[in-house]
Amino acid sequence: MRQVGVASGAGLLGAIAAQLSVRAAAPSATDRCLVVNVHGNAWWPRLLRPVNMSSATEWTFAQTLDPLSAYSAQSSLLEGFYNPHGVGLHGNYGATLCVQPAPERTANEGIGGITIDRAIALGLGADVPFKSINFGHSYGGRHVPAVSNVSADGANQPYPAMSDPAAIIDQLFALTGPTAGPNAAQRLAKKRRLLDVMTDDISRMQGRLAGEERAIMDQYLNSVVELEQQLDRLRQVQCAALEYTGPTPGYSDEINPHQSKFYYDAAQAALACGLTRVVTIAHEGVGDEPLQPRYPFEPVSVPESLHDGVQHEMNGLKNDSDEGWADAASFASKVSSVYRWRSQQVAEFLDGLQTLDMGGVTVGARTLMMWLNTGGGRHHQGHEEIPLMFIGNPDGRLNTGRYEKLETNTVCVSDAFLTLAHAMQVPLETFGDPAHSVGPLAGALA
Amino acid sequence: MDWSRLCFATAIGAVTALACDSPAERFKSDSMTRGGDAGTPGNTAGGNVATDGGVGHAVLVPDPKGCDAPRIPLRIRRLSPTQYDRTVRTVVPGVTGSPSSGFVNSLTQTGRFSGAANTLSLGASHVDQLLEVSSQLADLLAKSPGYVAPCMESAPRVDECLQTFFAELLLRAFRRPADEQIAGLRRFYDESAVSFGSEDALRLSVQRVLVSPDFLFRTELGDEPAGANVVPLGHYELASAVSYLISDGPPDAPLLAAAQTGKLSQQRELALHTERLLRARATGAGVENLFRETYGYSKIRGVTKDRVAFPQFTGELADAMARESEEFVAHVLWQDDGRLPTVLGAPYTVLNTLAATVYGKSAPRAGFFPVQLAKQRAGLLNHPSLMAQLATSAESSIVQRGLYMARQVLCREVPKAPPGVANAFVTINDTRPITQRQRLEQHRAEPLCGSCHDGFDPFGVALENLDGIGRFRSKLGDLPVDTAVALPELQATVANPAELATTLAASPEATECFARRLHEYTFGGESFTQPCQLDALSDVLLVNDGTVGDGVLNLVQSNTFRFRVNGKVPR
Repeated sequence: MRQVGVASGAGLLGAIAAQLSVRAAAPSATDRCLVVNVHGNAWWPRLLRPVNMSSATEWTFAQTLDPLSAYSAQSSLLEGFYNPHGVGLHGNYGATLCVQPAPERTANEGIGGITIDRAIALGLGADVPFKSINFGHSYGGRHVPAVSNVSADGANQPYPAMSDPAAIIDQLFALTGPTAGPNAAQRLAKKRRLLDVMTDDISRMQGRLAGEERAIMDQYLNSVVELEQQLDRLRQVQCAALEYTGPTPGYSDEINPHQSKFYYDAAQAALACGLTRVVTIAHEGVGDEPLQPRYPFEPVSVPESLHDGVQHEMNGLKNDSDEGWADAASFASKVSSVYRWRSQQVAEFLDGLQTLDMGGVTVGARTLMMWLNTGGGRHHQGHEEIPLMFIGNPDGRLNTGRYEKLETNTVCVSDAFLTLAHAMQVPLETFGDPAHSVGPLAGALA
Repeated sequence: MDWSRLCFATAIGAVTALACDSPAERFKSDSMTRGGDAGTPGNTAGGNVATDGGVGHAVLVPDPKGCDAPRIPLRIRRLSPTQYDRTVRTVVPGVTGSPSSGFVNSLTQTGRFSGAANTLSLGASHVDQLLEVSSQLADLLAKSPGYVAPCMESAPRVDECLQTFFAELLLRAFRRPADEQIAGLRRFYDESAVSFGSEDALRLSVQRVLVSPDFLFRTELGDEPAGANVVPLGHYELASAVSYLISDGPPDAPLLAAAQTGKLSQQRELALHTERLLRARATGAGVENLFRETYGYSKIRGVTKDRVAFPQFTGELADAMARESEEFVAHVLWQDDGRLPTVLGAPYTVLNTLAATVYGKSAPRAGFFPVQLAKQRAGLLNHPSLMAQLATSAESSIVQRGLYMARQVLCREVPKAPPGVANAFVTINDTRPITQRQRLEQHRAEPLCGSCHDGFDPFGVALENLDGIGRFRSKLGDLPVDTAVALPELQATVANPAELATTLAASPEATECFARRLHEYTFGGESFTQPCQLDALSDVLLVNDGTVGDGVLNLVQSNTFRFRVNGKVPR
C-alpha cells in the first residue's frame, strides 16, 4: 500500500520539499485505474468467440479465454470494429489507439493524434506523478516504433513505451520506497536542480525568438515544468519492491515471456502505489521482429515468432483468409495455446490487483482493462474486424457479461473508446476521426 | 581516415595554446564574433540590409533577376539524431553506438529531411529521455575531462583550469564561443559542488550544457543590426550551416578558425571551405544523406517479407541491400564523376557477397566492390533496396513503384486514391491466369482509376522484371513478363528496368526534381523554394554537366544561404 510522506533527505532536498506546491493525493476508493493491453496483429476473432452461447449474455469463454472465466461476468467481448486509418501491411499500430491517419508520408508511420489512453489519462491523472505509463517490447536492443509506440499526445507527439526492465526499475521504482537505493534522494535533488537551471537556459533562448520559433522553446519549457511537477509528486509515493529475474532483454533475438510478465508486475506496482492511474502495455510485434522463443508451455512449441513462424505459414496455406487458415487444425491449435497463455497472464495480473489495497477497496475493484488487438482479424489488412475486450467495471457504468459481433464496417473502434472513456467517467463527446465517431456503443453503458 | 578525430585533435591543440592563457578572453576581443557581423545598415531592394563594412561583413551578391533575394526568416533548427550523435562525439570521449537511440523513439520527424526537422516535438517524455542520455554522456566525460581541457587531468580543481574546461566545453558543444555563459555555468558548478561534491557538480554542468537549447538547436538568427530587415548569418552560424549541410555534423577546426577570423562571410572563403568539405567522403556525409533521404533506400532495413514467398529475405539481407545503395551512391560521389545522372543510371552497382546473391552473382572478395550490371539493370532506381520496399510482402507492386517514380523521382503531384477505390481493384473478376500488368490494365479501363493510374503505372510496368525483392525475372509463373511501355511525358519508350533508369537519368524533369530536393535539404523547407533559383540549379546539374557538389556550392554561395530576413516563419 502506498504511504504518503516527504521522503528522507536533508539540505537542498529539504528546501525543495518545502517549496512543493504540487502534492500527490493518496489513492482512494473512488479513484479509477485503466489498463490498456495491446497485442500485435495476432488475435483472430474466430478463436475468441464464446461457446455455448444462447444469447448475448449467456455464454462461456472459449478455450483461449478460459483462464479469465472468473471475470466473465465483469467482461464485455466485442468483435468487428473497423479502423478507417489502420491501413498498412501489418496494421498501423499508431492508428490503433488514436483513430487518425498517420501524419507521415508512408501510411503506416507515426501516430496521427492523441490516443485514447492518453486522453483518459489527462482526465484521471491530475495528482499522480505520471498521467500514464507505457511498457512495450524492444527488439534486438532497439524499439520498433510501430510496435512499442502506440501512444501519443497528438500528431507527432509520441508518448513512447519503456522497454528495458532495468531502466523501468531504475527510473520508476528505485527512487522511492523500499527499493530506493542509498542515493535516491540525491538523484532526485540533482535532477531537480538541473531542471531548475534548464528553465533559465531555455528562457534565455526564448528571449531571442518570436512567433513559432518561440513556441518551440515554450514547449521545451513547459515540458521541463511538467517534469519538475512529476518529480515533486514522485518523491511522495512509495512503491513496492520490484525486480526482474528474466534474461536480459534487448540484446538477443528473443522477445522473452519474462518481459511480458514483468510489464504486468510493473503495472500492478505502479497502480498500487499511485505512480499512475493509466498503464498501457504493448506486446509482441511486427517488422523484422526476431524469432520468438519457445513459449513456456507444452505441448506447443512455436519454433519462431508468432508473426513470422505461425501467421505467415498460415497465410501461406490459404492466402490470408480468416476462414481458410482455421481448417489447418495444427496451426489453430498452436495459436490457441498462445492465446490461452496470454489469457493466463492477464488473469494472473487481474488476480494480483485483487490483492492490492487502494483506500479500503482493492485496486482490482477500481480497475478497468481494455484488451485489444491492433491489426484486427486477419494477419494482413485486417482493420475492419478488430476484436476488443473490457474486463472490470469500477463504477458499474458498463453493461458487462456481453458478447457482441458487430456487422462488418459499421462501427468504428472510436466508439468503443468513447464507451471506455464514459465508463471511466471521462465523458469525451467524440474521439479520433470525427467522421467516424458517432458516440458510445449502443447498449454498452448502463 | 577518421576526419572528426583528426579535426578535433587539431582543435584541442589549438585551444590548448589559447585556452591556458586566458580562455574567457579568447574570443572577447574579436569584434567579428560579437556584434561584428552587424555591419552598417544599407538600402537594397530587400529593405535595410547589413552591407560590407570591411573584413567579416557579408555582402549581398548582385541579383538582377531577383532569384536570390534573402527570404528565409530568422529561425532555429533542431539537430537531427545523426547530427546530435556527431556533435556529441566532439564533446564527449569514448562514445560508442548511437546516443540518440536513447531518445529517438520519442521524436517524430515531420518533414522529408531529418536535418530540416525544426518542428520536432519536445514533449515531457522526450525531454526526460534527453536528460537520461545526457546523464550517461556526462558520466563519460567526467571520467576523461582532459578530452576537453588537458589541464583537467592534472589540476581539475584549479580555478583557471575549470574556467578553461567550461570555455572549451561550451565552444565545442555550442559550435561557437559562448563567453556570456561561462560565468553562469561556473556558478552552477560551484553551487552544485557544495550540495553534491565536485565530481557530481562536473557531471551536472556537462549535462546542463548537453540539454541546453544552444546545443540541441543551431541558430540562424544572425547578428542583427537594429532596424535591418536583411541580416547576415553570424560567422559561427555560417560555419555550422555549411558543416551540417555537407558533413551532417559540427564544424571542424578549419571552419571554426575561419569563423573566428571573420573570413567566412567572404564568399570566396566560404566557397573554399565548401569545396574542401565536398572533396572527400569523410567530410561529405551530409551529401550522402541528401540522397538517402531523397530516395529512401535505407528504409529497406525496416521491411519484412512473407517468409513463404521470400524465405531468403532476412534482416541481414535487408541490411546488405541498404549498404549496396549507400556504398553505390558514395562511390559515384567520391570516386566516380559525382553526377546525378550517374547515380540514377550507372551501368554498375556496388556489392558484397550477400547483396550479390540477389543478382545471382558472387562478389569478388570481402567488402563492397563495383560490379558491372547485366544490360537489363542500371542505376540506383533499380536497386533491390528500392524494389523490395516498393512491393507488397509477397510480390512486386506496379502501383507502388509507379507512384514512387512519379512522386519521389519526378516530383509530380499525384492525388491520393479516392475512398473505396482499393476495394474496387480487388473485386475485379477474372479467373484466367493474369499478370499484375494485365490486372492493372483492367483497372485503368475504369475512367475513375485510369485518370490517375495512366500517369504512373507505366513506370511500375517497366520494373516488372524485378520481383518483390529485386531479383530479375523474365516470367511470372508460366506467363512472360512484358515490360515494354511508352512514357509519353518523357517522350520515350522503354523495354526494361535499365531503359527506364537511363531515361529518368537523362530527363530534365528528374533533374529538376532533385534540384528541388537539394534546395529543400539545404534550406530546410519547401516554402523557401524559388522557381528561377531551381532552374539555375538544374542547369548546373544537367546542362552544365555539373556534379552534385557543384549544386551544393551554388546554393551555399547564394544570398539565400548567407542572409536571413526578419519576419514570420512560414511552416
